Amino acid sequence: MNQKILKYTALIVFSVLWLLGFSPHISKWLYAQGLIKDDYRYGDLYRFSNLPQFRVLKEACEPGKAAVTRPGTALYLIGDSFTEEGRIEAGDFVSGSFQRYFIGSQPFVKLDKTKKNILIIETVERHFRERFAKPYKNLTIGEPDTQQAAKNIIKEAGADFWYNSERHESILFSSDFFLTIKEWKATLNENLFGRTDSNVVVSKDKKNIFYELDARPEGITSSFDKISANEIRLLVENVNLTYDFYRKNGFDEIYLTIAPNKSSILGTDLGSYNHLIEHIQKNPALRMPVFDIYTPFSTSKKMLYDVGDTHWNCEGKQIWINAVNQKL
Amino acid sequence: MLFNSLQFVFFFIVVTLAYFSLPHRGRIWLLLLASCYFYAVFKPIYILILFVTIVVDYFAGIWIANAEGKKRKWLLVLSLITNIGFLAYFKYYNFLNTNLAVILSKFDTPTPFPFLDFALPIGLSFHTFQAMSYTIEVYRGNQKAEKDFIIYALYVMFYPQLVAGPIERPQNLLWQFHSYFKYDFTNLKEGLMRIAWGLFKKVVIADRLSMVVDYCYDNPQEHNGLTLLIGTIFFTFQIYCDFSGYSDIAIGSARVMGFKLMENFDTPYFSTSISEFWRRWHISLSGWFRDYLYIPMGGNRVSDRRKYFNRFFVFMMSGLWHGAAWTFVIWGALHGLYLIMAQIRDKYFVLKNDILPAFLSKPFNLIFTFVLVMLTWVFFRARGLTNAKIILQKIFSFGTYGNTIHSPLNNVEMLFCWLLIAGLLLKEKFVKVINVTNTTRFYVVFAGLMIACYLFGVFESNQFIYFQF
Repeated sequence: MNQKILKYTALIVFSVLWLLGFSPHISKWLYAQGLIKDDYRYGDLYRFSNLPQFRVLKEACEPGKAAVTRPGTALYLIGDSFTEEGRIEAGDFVSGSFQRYFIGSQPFVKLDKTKKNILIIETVERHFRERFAKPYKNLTIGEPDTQQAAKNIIKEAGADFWYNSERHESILFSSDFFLTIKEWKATLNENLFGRTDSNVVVSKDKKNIFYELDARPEGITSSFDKISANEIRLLVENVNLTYDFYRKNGFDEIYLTIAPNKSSILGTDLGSYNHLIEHIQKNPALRMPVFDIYTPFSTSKKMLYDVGDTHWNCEGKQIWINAVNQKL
Repeated sequence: MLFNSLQFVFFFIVVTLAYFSLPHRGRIWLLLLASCYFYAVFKPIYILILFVTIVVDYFAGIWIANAEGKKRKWLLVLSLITNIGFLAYFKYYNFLNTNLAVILSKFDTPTPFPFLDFALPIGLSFHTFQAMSYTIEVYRGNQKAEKDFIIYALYVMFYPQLVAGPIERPQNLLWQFHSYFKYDFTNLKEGLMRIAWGLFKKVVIADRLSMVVDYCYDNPQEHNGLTLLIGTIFFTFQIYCDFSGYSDIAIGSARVMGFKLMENFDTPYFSTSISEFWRRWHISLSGWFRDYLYIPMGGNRVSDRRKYFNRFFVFMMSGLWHGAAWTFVIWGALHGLYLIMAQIRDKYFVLKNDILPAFLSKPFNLIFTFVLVMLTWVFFRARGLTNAKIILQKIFSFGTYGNTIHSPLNNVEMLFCWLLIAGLLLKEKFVKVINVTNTTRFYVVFAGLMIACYLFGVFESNQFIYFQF
């Protein structure tokens, strides 16, 4: 009898634990209830590497309290993780309205004709060359037809009810207890085998951690990969074509902003920086206006990135927000 | 679903617990549905291919059993054509078309057939061969036709061996699905120990060695002969630990529920001849080719010349079974050649006295066999014939080895790799099966293996090599 109870209890417990990996809604609910912790609380690079020297809680930024001084403007942002929900909010901007779209998606946008429509395209430096290898035209102005809407619903439902290993792992093993165990493995690998997780690179002085994608010696995503003048010309041309496309589709103003890679600013001992951002921003053929973030980042003596993260910290973020609000 | 994934841990525990909570019929349904999910995790749509072959072979089996005379043969042929048809279409069509395109390009003519753009269904060669063995055995009268569709479907889809074997025979597996296995603690211990050891071989040894192997084989032109030799030795052990590790987990997962799957490996690198190697390596596939191709071609009961041809042909087919590329064909052909040369030597060049004293001849044969096998792995792993040629040329250019070994691993980890290989060989030599009779010892060894898997495991390149076949 006892064995039966044990068996059924184990069956129920393990089934529930398994089901946790099947929906993002479950993890969001568990997080909202305080049952699990944010697995990014020490930063994405720490999450990859579990190196204890980079286990520093990410700075919690003050919620944006910008007064709406430009009610007649509607701000649209196509951005990546630097400007994702949780980092950037409507309250950060002085515009009358704010809508954000993930840079990888292909959303439909309805413009507010009663307002001045401003579009900002924000991309991190490491993906700039891929994204602008051709004109970036992922927004569609208007509303989706029935077929497109149905397609989107099916796609979202598929993502909602399909197992995701990364999500499951973060639900189960993100507590400080499990992170400490993960740190044992990471420390063992680093000290004994001189190896860290393949997604990260540690600086030679061991003080900074970088995302491997932009810290590798070469490759299209690297800060240290040589770029030909011809490629720069092509990239600028594609940025201009992107600008023309959105202008033609009803946006009044369009801005480009390139968030510098952490390795471009702090990775001085990793290689010779290719100065991609400057090549684009200072190119005389560029017609799209830009928010220059690189200059304040590269000249600042302050740390503008979170220790265990690829993204800017609150101060770094504020530099960008100020630049945007000034233009609005 | 990968055996070395987090999801498999929960899948395995839940399915096993549910299995022991259900009556016989419920268990069969559970295992079938679980197997469908296990397969669908890779790519759901491909389950349709399995469904079609299952339906065709199920009815073919019943009709063959009830038919007489030539009709039986035609029904078998129909079933085999369906199975081989799927295999040919998904696995060999592009290969044949590429070769046709190469030939036609000599006459400035493009191939008239389009290239297909899809991924090969996971484990297609494995479950196709297992399904074929069923209809052949029914045809031969060695196996009764299975009337229960669900049990037959489970025979093809049983999740532990669905995607990478062992390729089971109906005589060994079907009766087990008709049986009701009670929970047995010894089975649980044996199964779990087998899983732990398989996982250790996969994540600690194979995936660690793969870092060096990938580094060497991705750009062989950049490395010296010594580096490539080490890369090749490491691949020899990587592929063994990867594949036998998978088989261990498969056998262990089934064992926990009471099922006994056939053994697939028997310390192959301790073989003292190539023919012995093939009795110890991928036993279920070697047996399949022996029973369903070599023996029907005449086996050993034909003239010497015909026998040599048969062997060569069978090994070429075995190479082609692994992958639709000339490198695999050459890999198989080399093994065939080795065997033919050994037979010729045994027949025409028998020495009255051994050259080496008895205590030296066995180690010599063992090392010689190992080297021969290792050299064939170059073709198995290389990206194309050109790379294989570069690797072999550099390995045999002893004078230009240089004194530096290029490796993505530091010296400590390289040493650790060699220690792991040495440990593996010692374990295989002296402890073929880890004894689980003593429960305390079982807990200690099991926990030790799992902790080692976590701390020393490499979880970044976790695909099993044989999944692609």
